Amino acid sequence: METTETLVKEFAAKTRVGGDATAFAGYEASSAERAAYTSPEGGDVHVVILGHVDAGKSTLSGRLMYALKAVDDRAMHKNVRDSKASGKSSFAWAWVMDCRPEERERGVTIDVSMKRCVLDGHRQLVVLDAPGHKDFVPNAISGASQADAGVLVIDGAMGGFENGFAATPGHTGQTREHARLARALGLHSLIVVINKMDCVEYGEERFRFVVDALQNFLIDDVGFSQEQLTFVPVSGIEGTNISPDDAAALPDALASWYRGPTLVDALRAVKIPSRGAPKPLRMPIADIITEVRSLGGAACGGKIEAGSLMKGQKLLVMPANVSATVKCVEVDGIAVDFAPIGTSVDVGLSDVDSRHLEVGSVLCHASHPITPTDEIEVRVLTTDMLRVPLLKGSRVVLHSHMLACDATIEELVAQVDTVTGDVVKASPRCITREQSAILRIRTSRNICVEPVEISPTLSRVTLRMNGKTMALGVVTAIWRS
Amino acid sequence: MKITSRAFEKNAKGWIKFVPESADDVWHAYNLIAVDDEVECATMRKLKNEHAGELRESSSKVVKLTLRVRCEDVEYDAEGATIRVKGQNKTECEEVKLNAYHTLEIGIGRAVKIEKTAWDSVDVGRLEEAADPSATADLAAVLIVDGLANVVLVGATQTIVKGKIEASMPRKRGMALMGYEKAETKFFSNVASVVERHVDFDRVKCLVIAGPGFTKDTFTDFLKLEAVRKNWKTLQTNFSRVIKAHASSAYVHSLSEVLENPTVRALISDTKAASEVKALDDFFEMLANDPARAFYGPAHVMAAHELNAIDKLLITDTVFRTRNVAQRKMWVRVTEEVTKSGGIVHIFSSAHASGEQLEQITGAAAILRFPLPDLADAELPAL
Repeated sequence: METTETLVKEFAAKTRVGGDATAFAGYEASSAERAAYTSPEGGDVHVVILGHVDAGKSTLSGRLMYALKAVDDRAMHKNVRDSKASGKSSFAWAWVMDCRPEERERGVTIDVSMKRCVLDGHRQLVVLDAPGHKDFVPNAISGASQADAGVLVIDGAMGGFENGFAATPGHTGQTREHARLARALGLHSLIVVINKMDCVEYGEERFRFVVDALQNFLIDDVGFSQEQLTFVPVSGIEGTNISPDDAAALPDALASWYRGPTLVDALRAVKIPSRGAPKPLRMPIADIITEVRSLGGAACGGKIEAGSLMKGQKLLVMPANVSATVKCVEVDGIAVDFAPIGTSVDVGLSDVDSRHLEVGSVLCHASHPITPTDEIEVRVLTTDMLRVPLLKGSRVVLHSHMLACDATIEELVAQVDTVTGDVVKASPRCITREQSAILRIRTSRNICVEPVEISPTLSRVTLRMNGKTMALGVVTAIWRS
Repeated sequence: MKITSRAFEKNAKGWIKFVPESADDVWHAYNLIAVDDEVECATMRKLKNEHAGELRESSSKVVKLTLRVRCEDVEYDAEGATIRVKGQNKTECEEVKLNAYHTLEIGIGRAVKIEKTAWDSVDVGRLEEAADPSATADLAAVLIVDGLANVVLVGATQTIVKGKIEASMPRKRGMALMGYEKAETKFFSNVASVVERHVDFDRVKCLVIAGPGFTKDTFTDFLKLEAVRKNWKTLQTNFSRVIKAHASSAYVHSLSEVLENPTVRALISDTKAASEVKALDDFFEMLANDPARAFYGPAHVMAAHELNAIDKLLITDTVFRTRNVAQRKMWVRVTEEVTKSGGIVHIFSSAHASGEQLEQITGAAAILRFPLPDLADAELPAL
């Protein structure tokens, strides 16, 4: 039986570097760092809000922020006043998150917004409100890449769910694509919110109908397990069933049959699974920050996916391969000396030229940096949206953590069995929909990814073509010259 | 291309004299010149002063003369739109010894004479294409998204990226949103100046602003105002020829989506670029719907041809630039036979995105008249 190693031909001057789980065996983590790895009770919980366009994600996020006291009455009054003045009064809650002028004008979320609030006694909630529009899926991918759990918002109104869930050649709703992305990007739990329940008078029948259809899809098709899913009926516009503090205000129509958690309860129940052994620093840059004085001229923001950050620490910026020193670390504008794995931070760097910082670059531990590469090997599963088969030479857009770049499929190494991973056909003529395959991909510039055995987060890849997600998978090896 | 005189017979030897008038013509010339052809044009030669043996440095002077060279190597320089032909000198003259090596440079405006031992049908076809004035329609495109723009000129034979502009735009993460508008304005004005500098509205049929989301709309509005602010007269007067189109990304490979847009297609329907994109698309459609009717790879295409099964043949011009004379003859024969039996041959320019894509899948593909399922999956020996 052929294995991947025997099939992948060696070519001049480059070595294939597979995933070696013992790669960081010699890594010495500080005690503070180790503590964050072994006891993930405190810290940040990142949640991405996904769903088809107009499902009500931004309105729900705004309500959530208000319920968790991240937005006060005065700010809300301003939103209500301003949105009414623009003739968009129904968007008042959405405007908590949609703050770009263009988003307000067009009434649509373009970029992921990130807002922080207190979840409970020892944890903070970081809400990433993603766009639902199909043109902005790349932004949704970056948002979901930073998340630990997901909230999939479904429009429960008659026709709304059907529209978002549709999968016909003429029209595909984003519900399916977002659900698949959620799973492929490693979200541990998914809270499925059936929104706009006010439009169906909080009817149990409608709720059950939508839940059944979704459950079948999410479990059988996408691959979530029952334990990972929670279904919550809400009304974003009316604020129903969002927070336990408003339990008394639950409308009778809902209270008569619903015994489950509120949205906030469900969020508080999210548990971040064990992080395994400590690994050296990896922080993908999500954002370049230029206008914050306290951070200085070379600053960036992102989520610490491995290791930790400390003020004064020396690190390496890859793929630029330049060193930098941590001048200061801020969490929501407040300076801290130390930030552990799982925290979203803003970092001010010194001794580095800001042009080396790019979205998609990774801040790495100085002694254990990522090896940049332009040639990677991936194992992917193609989606049902793939129509024209993948051939050698097919042009794709590769997404991984915060980065996106154009790439070419250099070689169809093998078609493999989706479940066992055994080779079905070596060097196939083409790869069609819903097949698993091993591909060798050349990117247009050097990128930072790691094989799946080394890093769960920095190994996930999404391949898109013509505005559709064609394949999802992981990096199995990188080619190093 | 201006052909000033010619004297050849098809499949026999002969010569032509011509003047390339554009970068496209230079590309045509690059595809015409083969190893062992004799190429003649005006050139510069550095003559060493032969009076050696004197203590002072040998002086040299540069002389302009016309030399005929037997081609051993041809190189194309996209930047300068020139071709360099290296080979042995075959001109009997005082200044240069016979068989001394020399490199000729062919560019726009410089008269050239090419003499071949055999002008086959592919060469003749290319000459006809080069001489056809209507095929010189160009299209300019700006593929743009938040923070990335590619300004591209699509000519008759080549797609050239005139500029790639990247900027880090602040995301909506807490404090960072400040400065978004400033960053956007700076990004847009950089893109606008590249557009103004490279888009020649006398040559170009239209300017397409394409991309996902709303950036294309915002940028088009900006461009209109900028043209007035910066007093760019040509852009102002030609703004009616600026159209918007949706594309799924701002990467250059999304250009094919722009070329398939109905509004754009109506304007450039007769250009080579558009027909190549359509042909490749038809091939991929066939591969999706009836894979046993879509073959690629020289061995498979040949096998299909032997069964007289080819309806459309897609082949890149790189195949015809091969030094292997026998191979070239074989492919010329295939194209002639396919055309004779009622099929269509598309010779893709490897300087277009679709040609590059075809190259990646070996450079030869075919859409068949009827399915050949056994042959499709068979592993055939290389040609």
